[in-house]
Amino acid sequence: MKKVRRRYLLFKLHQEGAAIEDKQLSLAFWKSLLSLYGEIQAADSKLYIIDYDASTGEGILQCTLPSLQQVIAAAVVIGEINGTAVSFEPKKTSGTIKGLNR
Amino acid sequence: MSFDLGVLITDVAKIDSFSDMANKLGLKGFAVVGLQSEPLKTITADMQVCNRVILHGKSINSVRKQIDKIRRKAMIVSVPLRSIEVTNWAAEDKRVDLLTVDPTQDNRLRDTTAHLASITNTHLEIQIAPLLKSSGLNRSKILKSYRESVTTAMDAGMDVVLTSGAIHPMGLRSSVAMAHIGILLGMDRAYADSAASSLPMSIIERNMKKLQPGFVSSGVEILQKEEEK
Repeated sequence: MKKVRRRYLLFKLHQEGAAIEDKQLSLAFWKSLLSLYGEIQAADSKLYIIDYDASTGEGILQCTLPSLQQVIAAAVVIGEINGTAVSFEPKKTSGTIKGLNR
Repeated sequence: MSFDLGVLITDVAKIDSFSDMANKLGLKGFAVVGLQSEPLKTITADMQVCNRVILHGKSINSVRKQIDKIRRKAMIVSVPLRSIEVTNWAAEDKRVDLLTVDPTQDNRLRDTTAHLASITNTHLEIQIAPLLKSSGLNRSKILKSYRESVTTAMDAGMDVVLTSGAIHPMGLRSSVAMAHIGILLGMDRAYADSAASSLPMSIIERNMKKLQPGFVSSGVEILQKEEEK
């Protein structure tokens, strides 16, 4: 089986209201991805939140290279999570986590 | 650096909160509808707010009367896509900057309108706010309307700009995020980047030149001798 290339995305979630936990955020990403692109694309994305700081809203997510654009688009169109208005800002993408910190 | 041409707030007090959020997202400024008298106002060293007017007239005459009054006071003038007569008139008139797609209406962008607009450099405006508020079937219908309009505009050579249409600071998005929505709407990467950042800036720069006192028409300017100044 051919190995699928992964990409890491550094992001910031701007929010107004109650802090959002990583599980809520992950669920919101998956729901949006599923709604926009369907079950197969969502499954192939292998979306996973590696790191997320609820206080600052900064985090790192991992997905496959072919699904990167779809994952970002799905995250950007999220307007609110559990009643909290949010604005997703993609900051930097890299092939390695180390690359995000450079 | 980019400029959001479509902030739809109704209260002057909200400008500060929008300015803070825009600063965080790396925006250079934003346009508000009818809240200030000057076309362009500098709030802080790296944040500007410009005045935008939306012309809602139902007939050509009423829209023409409105535009005569406001063009020198507004940095951005837009007309929503409604009746064919008004839309085609707006597409042909160089004083109109934006034709706004309204996904709640059945009026779509026609090929002929897009061709007229491409000649006069009138841009198609896509506001992302309806996409953020909706989900499921409703969002699918909005996406259909937006994707069709974007394809028609691009095929006719009409430029497209992406704006937030935000009524709340959290409705703003960074230019990178906007570009990804552009790709979602059927644009290629380079076009989406320009629709989110360089095209809105070029509209502001073009209109700043037009609003200068010595400006007559593009390429024609009144020059004064040193002693006349």
